[in-house]
Amino acid sequence: MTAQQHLVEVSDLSTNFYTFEGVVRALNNVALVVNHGETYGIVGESGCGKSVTVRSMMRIVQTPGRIDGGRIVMFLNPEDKEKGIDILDRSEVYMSSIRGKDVSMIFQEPGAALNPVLSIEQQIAESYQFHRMDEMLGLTISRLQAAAPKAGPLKIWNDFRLSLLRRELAAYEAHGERIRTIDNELYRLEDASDQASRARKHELNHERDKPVRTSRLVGFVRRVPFLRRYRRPLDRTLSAEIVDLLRSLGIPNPENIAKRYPHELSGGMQQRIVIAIALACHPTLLIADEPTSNLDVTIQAQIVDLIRELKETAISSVIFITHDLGLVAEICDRVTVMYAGDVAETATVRELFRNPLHPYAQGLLEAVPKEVQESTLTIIPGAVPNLIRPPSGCRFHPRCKMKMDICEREKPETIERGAGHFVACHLYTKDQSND
Amino acid sequence: MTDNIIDIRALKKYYPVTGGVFRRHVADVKALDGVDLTIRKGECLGLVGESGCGKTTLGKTLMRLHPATEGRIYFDQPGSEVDAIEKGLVSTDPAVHAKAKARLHEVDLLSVGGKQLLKMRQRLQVVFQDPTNSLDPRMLVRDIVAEPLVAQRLISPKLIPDAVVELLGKVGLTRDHLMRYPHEFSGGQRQRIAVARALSTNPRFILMDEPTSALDVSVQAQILNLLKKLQEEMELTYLFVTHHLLVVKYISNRIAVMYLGKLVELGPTADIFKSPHHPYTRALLSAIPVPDPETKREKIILSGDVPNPINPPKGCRFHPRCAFAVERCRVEEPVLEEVGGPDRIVACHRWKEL
Repeated sequence: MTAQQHLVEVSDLSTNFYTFEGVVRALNNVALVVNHGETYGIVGESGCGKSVTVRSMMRIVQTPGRIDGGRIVMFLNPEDKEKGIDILDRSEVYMSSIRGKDVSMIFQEPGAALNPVLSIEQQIAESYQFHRMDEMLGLTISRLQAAAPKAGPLKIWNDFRLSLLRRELAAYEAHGERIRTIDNELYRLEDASDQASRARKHELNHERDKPVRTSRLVGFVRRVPFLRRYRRPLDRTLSAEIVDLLRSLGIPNPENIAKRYPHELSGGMQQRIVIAIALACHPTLLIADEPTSNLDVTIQAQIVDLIRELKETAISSVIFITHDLGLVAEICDRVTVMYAGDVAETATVRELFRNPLHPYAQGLLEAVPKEVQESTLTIIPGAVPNLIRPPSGCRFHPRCKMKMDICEREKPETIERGAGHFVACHLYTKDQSND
Repeated sequence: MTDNIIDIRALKKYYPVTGGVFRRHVADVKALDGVDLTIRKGECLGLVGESGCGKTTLGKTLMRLHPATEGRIYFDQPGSEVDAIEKGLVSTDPAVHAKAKARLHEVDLLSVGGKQLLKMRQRLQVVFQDPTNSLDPRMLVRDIVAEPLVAQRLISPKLIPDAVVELLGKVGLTRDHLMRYPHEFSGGQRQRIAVARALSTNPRFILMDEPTSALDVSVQAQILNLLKKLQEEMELTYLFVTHHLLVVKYISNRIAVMYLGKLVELGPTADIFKSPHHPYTRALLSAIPVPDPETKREKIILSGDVPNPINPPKGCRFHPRCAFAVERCRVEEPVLEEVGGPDRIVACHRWKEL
């Protein structure tokens, strides 16, 4: 395990939803670790807190939900992989600078994730404009310089465009430099807890949140009709980049697709566009929240194949949420089984399928129709409980066939049974105390 | 051949597309384009295919929820009778033809009307995909389950409450659930209510339109087991429409595979899974994620989507996505032919070579 480098460490995460009927305790001290370079699966029935977990990791839990406790430490710094940042401590502006750039997410329903009034090109461009503006400006400038006319009025226009674009680039570069110095200092202060450094941290965070300051000339020209066309070469650079991106995702006829609107595309194609948006900035971590649950098996196979391929080429780690155990078996390296806001079991895929320990994991595996299904399916009686008044002790006990007295009283501790195989169940804690 | 409960002949369903200022009829969405299918008494026939291939349309046309464009559906008729009428319909003798036509109005699901239709509907029931949408949110469970009984006037109103409780008992619900509204139930329980409603008229045949695709795996297993048990107890026949192939494998005796409004393969479940003949069936089967990390299979990944059914490809409809397509597939449309017996049919030019 020591050889593995952690990418995300979630510990004691509690997210609650403050609804009219009461507090929904959606996550009950969830802990999980995602390593660099792995595909991590989260399975469970609906209402188990899979989506809430990853939404908490992106800090996009919708109201009335709130993250009430815990730590989410991300190790995103490419130079220093030992040092993490607790993203729950950071500002909203910091989060938006990470979202889509270091951590991206694919949502369940592509039809709902895409904006119906913007063309595909415009939607993908947003990501570039938000995170990679300096790069795009640089590309545009070098392109304009290469094709500069020798003399005449065109040369004047070209020089004008170039000077404005350079000003913009300078502003973005200065901004990037400022962020880098602040980040470096924040890294040093991450673990410090004395009064002075806490104050300094606060100050730095505030400083970091300031937006890019472009020069006043640029701001003026962008409001003048005709003159504001100086930015058109930038749009062309963006289009070219987007077409390249779409082509690399295996989308046929990308020039045409880029100009279309979401409703003109099929479900599978929409999902590819969502993936394209997520990948526009080469994220380190891709979170896929049931990316294929509304698609046909053939299209699902295409999408899963694409994600697996991307995992090898473009992105470091993938968190794959699904309720389809077949998909988990196919694509994931390690899996966490969640039940009613608790982590029930974590293990490598092979281990989990060969030797599931938690009664819920066992039940889940038996409830799925297999390739060779001789007997009738075994079922887990009942349904996922209401989390406003979750069952006491182990939340699974009302449905568990191995229930003991202790299950009603105490929440089981998570223990390690065998290398990297963690389970939270009294069946095994009792064993250990007997040993 | 006397044991067919439903005999579908040359069923077509076109949805008109209108356009222009006068809403002219400009094209047709060919959702079903000549489907022949028989469903035997007491079996469960699985109907699979991608979305947009006409599975649901077939079910809805069967229930006469949508009027069919063309074709005949014989319900619970002896095979000899069906053959006689079919022969009469193609006969050149006008008298014979007219007689067969008249007979259709008594036995063809698509032609009967009035009281006869009501009576046929009593024996045909349906369970829809999403129980949240198929149950009226403003009706009590008691009324939902009793509605078919009231509409069909099957039993005296006095007996209805007891009948409802008995029906709920069959699907694993109790008297306590009677006075509740659908939103108070979980997805699995709602689907149980929908099943109870379908059972209320004591049907012979139930159309299951993706009954488990909106449910979680553990609940899905509960519903599947319930459906299996009911089928044995009440000698029901199911048409099980779904795109989840392992579910179909678990529950059905035979499988029909559809692609773009056409039947492409039909056969006993075990045979289809063991040796699929049609390239499309193969691709479908290989795309199933197997819940076992030890077995890694070679996948056939189809490129592209299902083509537009307004303007389906010429020749074999599958050829643009088929890895084995040859010139003949582009030109000539394959017909369904028997493969080693009447049980197994496939529509492909090249199944023998593959």
